[in-house]
Amino acid sequence: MAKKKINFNWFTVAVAVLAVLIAIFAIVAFSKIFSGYSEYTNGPDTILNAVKRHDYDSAVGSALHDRALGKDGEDYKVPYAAVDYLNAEILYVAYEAADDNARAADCKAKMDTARKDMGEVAKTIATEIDAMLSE
Amino acid sequence: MKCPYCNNNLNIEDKYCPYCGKENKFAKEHQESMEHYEADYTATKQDVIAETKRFQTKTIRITILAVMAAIAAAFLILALSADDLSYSRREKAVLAKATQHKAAINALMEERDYLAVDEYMDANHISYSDGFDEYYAVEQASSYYSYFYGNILQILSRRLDDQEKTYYASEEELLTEIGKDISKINEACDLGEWYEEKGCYTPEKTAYLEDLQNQVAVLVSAYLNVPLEDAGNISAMSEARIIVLLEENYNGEKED
Repeated sequence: MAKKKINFNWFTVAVAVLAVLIAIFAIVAFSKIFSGYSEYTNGPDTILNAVKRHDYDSAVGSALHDRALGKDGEDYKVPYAAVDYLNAEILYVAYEAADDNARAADCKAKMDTARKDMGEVAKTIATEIDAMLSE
Repeated sequence: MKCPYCNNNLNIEDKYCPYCGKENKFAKEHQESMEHYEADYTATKQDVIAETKRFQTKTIRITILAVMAAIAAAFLILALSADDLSYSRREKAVLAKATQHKAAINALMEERDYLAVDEYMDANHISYSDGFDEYYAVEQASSYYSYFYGNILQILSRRLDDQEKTYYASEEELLTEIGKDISKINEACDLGEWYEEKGCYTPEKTAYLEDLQNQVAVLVSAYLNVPLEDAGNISAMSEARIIVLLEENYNGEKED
């Protein structure tokens, strides 16, 4: 009787192990094949918070990614405007220093447009960016 | 057989001779042998049946395990090939919208939105697609421009007081990275004949790349203190020379 019990257990364990392996491999395989695109988005809060803590590299990267995926709307207005303002002013200062008036004027126009959309945070962010760009 | 007493014919099963009535001792021995044989036969038969059942059970179990192992192996192979299959699936989807993507990229190129070009190609998995070979130089230059611009932002952000704890790279490391990024941009703008034949350097794309290099020079001059004239020549410099130029000027240690 004792021998029969042992025989039953090894088979059950083997079946259980193989069933788990099949499940794991199947999940990995199908999740990779049908994973779809990297559709994560950063969200307007992530972008704006990055701007506010002066993590401009992260802010620009996040805004670019969300925009490339077509994310837009009222919630994104201020964050996108803040990033646009930042980029426009960086280029404006640079082109002005290089006496490229045409491009500087383009950048200035973009800054003015962006500032209008920045809402209440416009003054704070603009001041900080100005401080960053003036040595 | 013959009766040992009266010598008449006798059957082995007869317990007594039908002629002389004497006891047939062979019958008893025969009976005992038959009973023993029958018992052996029954026992052997039961053993064979039991053994067959055990064998069948074992065979069934081994078959089940073998089939499960084969299924597991098949899924393992599928999991190992999943990246290739996923890539194929993704590539198919990207190529299905090739015209749309190219129109979007061309529009961003016209606006000279270098960052957006890079991000669009990255987010839509176009960067490594076979159907967009003509955009390879543009993609490479825009991609390294993104790294370059990000490093410039980091350099600028450090000017605000609370930045020390945010960034892990030193200024020297950032300048080295910027130098490498610029060198990669320069490479992308002159990849060679094969890329030219693929359409990487049409007049529109060449103009885009030249403007990109010009913007790099302007940013380097404005924010890394490199004189505009030197910055303008940066597209013709080696990586090492660019890094030295940046380090000399940014730290204000330029040799006369």
